[in-house]
Amino acid sequence: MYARAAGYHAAVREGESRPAAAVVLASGAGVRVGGERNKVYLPLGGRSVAAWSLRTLATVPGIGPLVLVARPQDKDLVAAMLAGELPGYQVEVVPGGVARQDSELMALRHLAPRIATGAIDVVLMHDAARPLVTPELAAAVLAAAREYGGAVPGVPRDGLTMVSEDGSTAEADLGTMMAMQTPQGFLAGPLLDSYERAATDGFTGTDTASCVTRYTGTPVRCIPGDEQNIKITYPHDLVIAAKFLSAASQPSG
Amino acid sequence: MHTVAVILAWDAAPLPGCAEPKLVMPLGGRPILEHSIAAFGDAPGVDEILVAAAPELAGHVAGRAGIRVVETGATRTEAARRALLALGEPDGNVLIHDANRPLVSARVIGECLTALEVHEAACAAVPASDTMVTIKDLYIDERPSRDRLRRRQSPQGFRRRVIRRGYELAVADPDFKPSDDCAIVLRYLPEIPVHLFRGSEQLFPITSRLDIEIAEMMLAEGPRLSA
Repeated sequence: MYARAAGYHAAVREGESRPAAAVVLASGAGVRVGGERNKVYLPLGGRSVAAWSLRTLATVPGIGPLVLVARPQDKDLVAAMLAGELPGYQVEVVPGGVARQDSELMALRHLAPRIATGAIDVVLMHDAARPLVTPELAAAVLAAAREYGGAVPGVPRDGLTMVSEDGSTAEADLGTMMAMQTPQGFLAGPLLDSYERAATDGFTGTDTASCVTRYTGTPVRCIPGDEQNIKITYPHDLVIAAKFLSAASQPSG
Repeated sequence: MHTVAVILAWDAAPLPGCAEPKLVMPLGGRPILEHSIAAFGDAPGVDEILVAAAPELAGHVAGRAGIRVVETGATRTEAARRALLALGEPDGNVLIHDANRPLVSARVIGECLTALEVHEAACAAVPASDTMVTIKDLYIDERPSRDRLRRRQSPQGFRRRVIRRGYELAVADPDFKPSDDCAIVLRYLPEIPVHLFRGSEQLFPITSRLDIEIAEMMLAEGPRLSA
């Protein structure tokens, strides 16, 4: 992981006609991990959780602008992270909203002029709480988004149950389902349009794909995700992520 | 009501790169399997422990007071079915637990027993932390509300006659796909409500050496992570 992140940093953009933009969402409060600090600025393997995916996404061929959506109250944490952990990276910081969808909309409005001119063709939306995204996964999402209009990585999960409204009774075994990960990639024009229409309607989707499907009618492709691309949700997830990182940095793998 | 805890130790496979079966690898200074045996052995309200053990594992638990050992086949379904047959007496409750979920707490076992005072089937469950979707022809199809989704764990508790009947129907079905016990009740005995009680993030199944390290860490942190 360390080796990959540092590896082909400069080898980008040659031969890419229109770059994609990568948006890293760091505006969630992260209450489940505990503590006062937004979980995405907690330390992991020598840098902030959020810095990992920003560095990785910057190495992906075809990704141009990098946008970080952050809570206004995290201004100082962001400034320290950018100066200390991401020197030389061009990160455009956009203030986030209350809900995830508001934050995505603010990022898309920030990118809107470039989307309108066609300077950006695809937007990848990534959750900053997933620090272990690999360049390979992001590249696969980007390629699938260009080909199919929208793409989301997923990993299979079984043992899932639908429950009654009060949560007390199991109603059905759901068999194998796919757990959605990020980055989720979409053609930029329809994505921006969907989010503007959702804002007008007051519609809130569960994730980026749900909003796009509702307003464009376009189905979203699911591509194979990565079991190590975990979301930092509970305190022990930070330890798990650190172990993945140290395993990946050992020469024998 | 007489209650037996069945611990499923059918899987004698080692983890990749290891020699000994996963279930006897050390965790917190004792074999993984021993965590479940101790937890159910300490639980007030559990009258008997029955370990459904692969032949390679049976020696680790044989000859101990208060523990019955049933040798089992090579699948989870076969292990559970043979254990249920070995129970004999059809009245009473059975708690079924997968030995590869070693961090089962007194709190969780207690909730399972309490649930069985009222319900005929009960299952440990935790919220699904990711958005889950179904896939059709490689595209996202349906997206059930995350509020209505839970991940099933073990222990799962049943009236013995209920889960035995479920297994009878399951093994008679040529289309039966192996699953946990709760899924069998949901599929074959839809008239039996399955009550859900709060499981734990610590109840994850051990599938790698990294999982053992994570479990070690959870053991060390102990109560802070609210078993």
